[in-house]
Amino acid sequence: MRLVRTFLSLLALVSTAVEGRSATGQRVLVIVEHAINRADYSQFWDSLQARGFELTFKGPKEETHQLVEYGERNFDHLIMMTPSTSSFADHLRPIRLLPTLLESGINTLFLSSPSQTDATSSLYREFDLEFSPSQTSLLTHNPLPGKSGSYVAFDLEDGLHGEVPLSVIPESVRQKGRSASSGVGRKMVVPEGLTHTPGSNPFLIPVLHAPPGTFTGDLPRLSSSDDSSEEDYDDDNERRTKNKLQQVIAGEEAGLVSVFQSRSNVRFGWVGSVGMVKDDVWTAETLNPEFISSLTSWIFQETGVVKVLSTEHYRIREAANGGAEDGTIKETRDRFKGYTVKEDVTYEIALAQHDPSSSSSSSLNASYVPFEIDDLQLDFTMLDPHIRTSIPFAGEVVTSSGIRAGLYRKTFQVPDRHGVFKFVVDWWRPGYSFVHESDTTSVVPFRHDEYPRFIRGAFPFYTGAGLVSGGFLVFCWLWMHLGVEGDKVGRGNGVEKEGKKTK
Amino acid sequence: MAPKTQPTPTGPTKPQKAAVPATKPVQSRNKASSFSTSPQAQLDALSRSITSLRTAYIQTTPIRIKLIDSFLAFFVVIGVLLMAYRIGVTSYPFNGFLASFGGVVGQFVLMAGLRSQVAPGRDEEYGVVISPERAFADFCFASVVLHVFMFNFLG
Repeated sequence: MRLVRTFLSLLALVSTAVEGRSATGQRVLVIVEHAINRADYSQFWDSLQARGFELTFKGPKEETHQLVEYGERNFDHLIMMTPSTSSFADHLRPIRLLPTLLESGINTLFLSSPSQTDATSSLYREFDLEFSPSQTSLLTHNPLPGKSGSYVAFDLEDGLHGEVPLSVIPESVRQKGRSASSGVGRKMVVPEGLTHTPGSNPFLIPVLHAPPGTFTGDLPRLSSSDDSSEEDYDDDNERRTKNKLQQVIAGEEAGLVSVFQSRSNVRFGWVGSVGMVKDDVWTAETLNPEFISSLTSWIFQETGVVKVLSTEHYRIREAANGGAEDGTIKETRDRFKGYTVKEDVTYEIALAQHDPSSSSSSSLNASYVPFEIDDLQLDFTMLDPHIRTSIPFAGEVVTSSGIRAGLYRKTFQVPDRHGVFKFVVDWWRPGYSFVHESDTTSVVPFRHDEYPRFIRGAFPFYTGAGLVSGGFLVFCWLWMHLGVEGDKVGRGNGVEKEGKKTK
Repeated sequence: MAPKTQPTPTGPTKPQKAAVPATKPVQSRNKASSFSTSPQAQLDALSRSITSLRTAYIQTTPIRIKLIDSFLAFFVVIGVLLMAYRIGVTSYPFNGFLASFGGVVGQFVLMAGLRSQVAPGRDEEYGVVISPERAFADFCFASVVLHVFMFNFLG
């Protein structure tokens, strides 16, 4: 009986692992403030649970369920639905939350609303996002019938930022958004969206901004009766321009959705309106379900996740015995046994991309598929890159851990410069995990016996040297011979002769 | 002081210039006329002096000195050829060129040193008596050291 139970629990464990679609884990902590009724967002939660995420709901002041305990994280992802909260539990205070997220790699989705507090805004400022003041909202001049001016519906392509990677918002979602302009429907709906201005931080990817015809202004307070709200809204705006002389934020400066990926591939996302995931807009008529789902897929490490499985560098040597068919052998070198200058060296790197759809296979490793790109670069660098070359795709390979990966290989000649070098592969593209691999090796000059010998062009030099030595020997022999022949031709005689002559 | 410095710049130069034409034409009037008159006579004089130099060298120079001289010429020829090859064809490998050319030059210098020690009249000039055996032994030792370095560097 007990055995059966263990078996069953093991099975359950395996099945949960199988359902996993995220590359880093399925546990999500959801912090919902009391002002928000979480039942109003049931469709959003259901969609997450359908993707295999285990949601744990907590209030912002609950000390239990720490994100990280004893250096181990209890949750892999975090959803902060706490715009108007100003006091948090200790482990959720912004000053402690930010380092925890970055160090432990917890991906986070932040949801905002016009009631956002200054404390929260200042946390977002760390990511170079400047949120509009509270009680402001994205407004439109042409509200839908029966809706207030803060309820903005628009075509996706009107608000989608031009450089959003396909890994964040895939083509299928864009396609559905495009059909909206042909009158079929499916528009993005942003009720009461708090806008933000994304800074120039290169890690930041603006996704959605205010569509044409909308701008940021004070939130209309009386939305119950149409006439008064219209007047109120006009009054408000006049007062704003008179007293504060604040510039109107619109277009790309009025961001609605932005994402961020840190150096260590921790992902963050901001959705300017908590109403975007509410049940009343999470319907088949709007594009919100598809849009938010692809966004959370990216933030929770389901899409655009690239992994380096292995790197290797070696040289091809003629084998003393055995080896491959052509009599060569692959000689891998470590960082201490390096390469000789001008030697041909081969570098290999295996990349795989996480595929959330193939997770139904038996092992977790099968959720990786080969990653093929054509713009991977390899640097061979000592302070400066001495060689920078493309490293082309060389086919698929199955690694020792059973993962299918794309193999990239490049053979190049080591420069004539000795020292400590690094093989560096740097591939930073927005929307994908940053790939940075660095292997250290050393490059040594020729040993004394490694120089080329008996070069054809140098034979005149060898002959010259031989003639000098041979000439020396012949000279010595002649000198001895002539010396034996007689002292009469020696030096004494010469002196005598000379003496005689001069006399 | 002033009267002394005044004549000195002009004094030594002008009398000399005056003295040279005065003495030269008197002593070598015939020679000067033969030089200036015909180029043929000039050539004859040159060839005569060369012939006399050659006969004097052949007759008076000891055989060992002649041997040294011929080998010195031999080394000069090799050195010129090596340099011509290096400039005209290739200098790779440079250490090969350096070794062979340096060896030739070094051997030339050592042999010239030997010549200066055994040539007639050298003892009187330097005031030191070095026996030819001693000079030859020095030459041999130095040459062997030179050749060891040369072949080691030849690569």
